[in-house]
Amino acid sequence: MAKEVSLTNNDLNSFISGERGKVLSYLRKKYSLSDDDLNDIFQDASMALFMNVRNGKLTELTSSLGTYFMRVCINHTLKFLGKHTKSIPLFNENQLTNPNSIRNDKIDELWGVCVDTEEEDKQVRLEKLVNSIIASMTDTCKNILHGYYWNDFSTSTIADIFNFSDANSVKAQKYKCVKKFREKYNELKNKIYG
Amino acid sequence: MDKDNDILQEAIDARIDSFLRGEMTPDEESGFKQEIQADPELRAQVKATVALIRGIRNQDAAQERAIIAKYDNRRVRSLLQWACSIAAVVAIFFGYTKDKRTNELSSIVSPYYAEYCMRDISRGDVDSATVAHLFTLFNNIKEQRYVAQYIEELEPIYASLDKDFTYNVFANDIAWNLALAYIKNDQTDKAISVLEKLAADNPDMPIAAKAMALIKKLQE
Repeated sequence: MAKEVSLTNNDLNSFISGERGKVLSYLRKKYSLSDDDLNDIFQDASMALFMNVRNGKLTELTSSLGTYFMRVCINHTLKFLGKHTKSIPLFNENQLTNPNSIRNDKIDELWGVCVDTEEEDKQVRLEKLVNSIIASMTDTCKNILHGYYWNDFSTSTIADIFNFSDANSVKAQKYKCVKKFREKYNELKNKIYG
Repeated sequence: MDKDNDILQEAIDARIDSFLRGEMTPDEESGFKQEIQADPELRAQVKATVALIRGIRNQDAAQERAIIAKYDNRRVRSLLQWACSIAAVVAIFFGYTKDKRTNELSSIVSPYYAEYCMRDISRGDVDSATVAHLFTLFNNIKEQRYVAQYIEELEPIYASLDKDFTYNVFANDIAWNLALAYIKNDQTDKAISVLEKLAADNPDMPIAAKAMALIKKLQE
């Protein structure tokens, strides 16, 4: 009996569907293309992603999957423009992401400076606390924080993706979200551990 | 007062960011660490911020790992299939002819493949991620030597065609490619049954004639 596999519930499918709005919004802002062309580009890029994941080409990703997929979409856009227009706009990688990515070793290093051994026992509970606060955040905050801290997108890219007026409004909003998180985290932590 | 505090906190956030991206000099790093150790208030702020960053990255990393790992299993399976194909070569060396059979079956189906390209479908009326997945399956059936895993994926979709209209636009393509996969996988009885239904569902259509021609070829 064949295993039940539903395409609509497929993880990769859901991932691609979830990225659609962000990718199209970014490409629309950056390149003057019709919606039909953008849809075609997105579909081609989705297929390329499927092939690459299936062929095991993504086992050593150096960026997040979302950032990788965005690059695939940009490459397909540039290819499309190469075929249909005389001049291809230059793509500056540093405009898409921050020049230096957040490093896991640095996170661990800074975390080690802040946490004492006594607190290590409370880690699992604190992680749950963090997750519940993140889950309770507004979508705007989640989008900005995920884009910035996971995808390593620059603030101007985040502005293009989520329709902020510019990079500065993203920075201001990001600061507010982080501040809100800190306040809630410290408040709940003090309540639990005194 | 609040504004001053915000400016100060923003400056600290910028330093945290710079530390995590490895943009500080060693002197700046050790100075920052000393300040954190000496100032409980600063430590609480840095700790909460790093907790947030860790939380976000751990959540997203876990999700993405799950997506890639799921397909990695298929890679393991395909590695097994490679091992099988090596075994087949060895078997041929010792006089077995299973590979010959596979080649015969592949040669039967090869004239009947189609190339599936996203640009061929009408725009905007189907879920692109679903179609991309479907077309990848079809193309894999065409390109890959061993297709059992694609049969596993197509069978439930084929079975759902009468109940679920998600794939109706591609019903004939699904049936056709499933039949080709069955033939390639030496399951001709199943292929004939799918082809007969395809012909019956599409009377007087070119696909029906194509299906009947393929059945005839298989029966020969």
